[in-house]
Amino acid sequence: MDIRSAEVYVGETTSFFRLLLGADVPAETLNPQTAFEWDFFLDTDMDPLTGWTGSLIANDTGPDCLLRLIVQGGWRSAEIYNIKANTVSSVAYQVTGNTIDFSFPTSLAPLDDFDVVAVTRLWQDGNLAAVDKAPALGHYNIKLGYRYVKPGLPALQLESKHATFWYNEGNEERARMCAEAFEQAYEDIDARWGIHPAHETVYVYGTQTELVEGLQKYSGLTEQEAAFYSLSGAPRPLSGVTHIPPRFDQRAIFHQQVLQAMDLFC
Amino acid sequence: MDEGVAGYVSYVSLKDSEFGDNVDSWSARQIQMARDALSQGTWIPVSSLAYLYDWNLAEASAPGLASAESYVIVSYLVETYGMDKCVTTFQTVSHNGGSAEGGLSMIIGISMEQLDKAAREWLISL
Repeated sequence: MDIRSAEVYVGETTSFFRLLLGADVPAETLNPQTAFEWDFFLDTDMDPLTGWTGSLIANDTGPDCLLRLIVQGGWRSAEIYNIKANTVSSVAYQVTGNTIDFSFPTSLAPLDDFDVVAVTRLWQDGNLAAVDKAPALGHYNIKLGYRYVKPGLPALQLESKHATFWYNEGNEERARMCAEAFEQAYEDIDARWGIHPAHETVYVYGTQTELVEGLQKYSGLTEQEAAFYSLSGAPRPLSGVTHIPPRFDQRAIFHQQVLQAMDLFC
Repeated sequence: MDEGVAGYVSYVSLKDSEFGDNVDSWSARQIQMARDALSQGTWIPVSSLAYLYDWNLAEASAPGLASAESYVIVSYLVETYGMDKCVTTFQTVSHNGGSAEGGLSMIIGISMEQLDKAAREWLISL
């Protein structure tokens, strides 16, 4: 059952996924009521709020594709299931001892950038009897590697030249990126318009749900006002407090600070 | 207009940075979205983007389109009249708490309708 390692290679035309297990893959199960399933849960829009939700299995992702091999009785099947489109395509696979290799045309799924969790499941009479997954918490991202952000409101602090950043354990790299983008915006706005905002407090959130909570706690928005941002986005900075949602990139952070500057000089 | 200015400034400030590829593709997406609105007849007139209440309504009914159009309109204004006039127009309207039409006419010398037409023509010519 145990997953020892998982490897992913996305090629221009063909993609390869490999699972290395703690024991050999059985050719069949003891009876048709028992089934093994080896899965890669893929969140291709990297948005935990969309796709299949099942944190027990998929951790903090919202998978929209499932690559899997099922062994039930003497029957085997490998497929990629597009959860959003509700379509299933057979994929090539090879089992060698304790290794499962999948290969399929890259065009079957949008694989430019995605989050992934590898899972082994044992089914007994249609019920989930056992699970192993990699990673146990968080997920892997094809570009960034292992990602796990501790849930909850930001609790750790990072000082930049003109702001204090609050973020969660596991989100250090993103907090540094936000600080870099913020300082770049600060300097650009200073050079362009000579505006110097007061020392800013910036919250960097791991999830949109936590941002909604933070808007109420740190900026006094009502539940209804904060709920406006439950799916995406963030308000412009409010009285020296900036809230950065998980999907904001450098440009969006820069954009937020320009809006604040315009509020200051108008 | 502030959303458009923020979009424009973030684009020109970052396009030559290490994030250049990202902001280039962001800019291309905004322009494409505005072009699609023109060809599909869903373009939001400038007069419906000039005030916060209307802007929020537009953004709620077609997410992203109000931002995309604001970016296109400000890009046109900056390239044609310069950033200073854009910002002065915004300041004038904000300080006076009044008419965007009046501010646009006083600082740039065109009406909202003329701006709408010119921005659409500029977008097609890109």
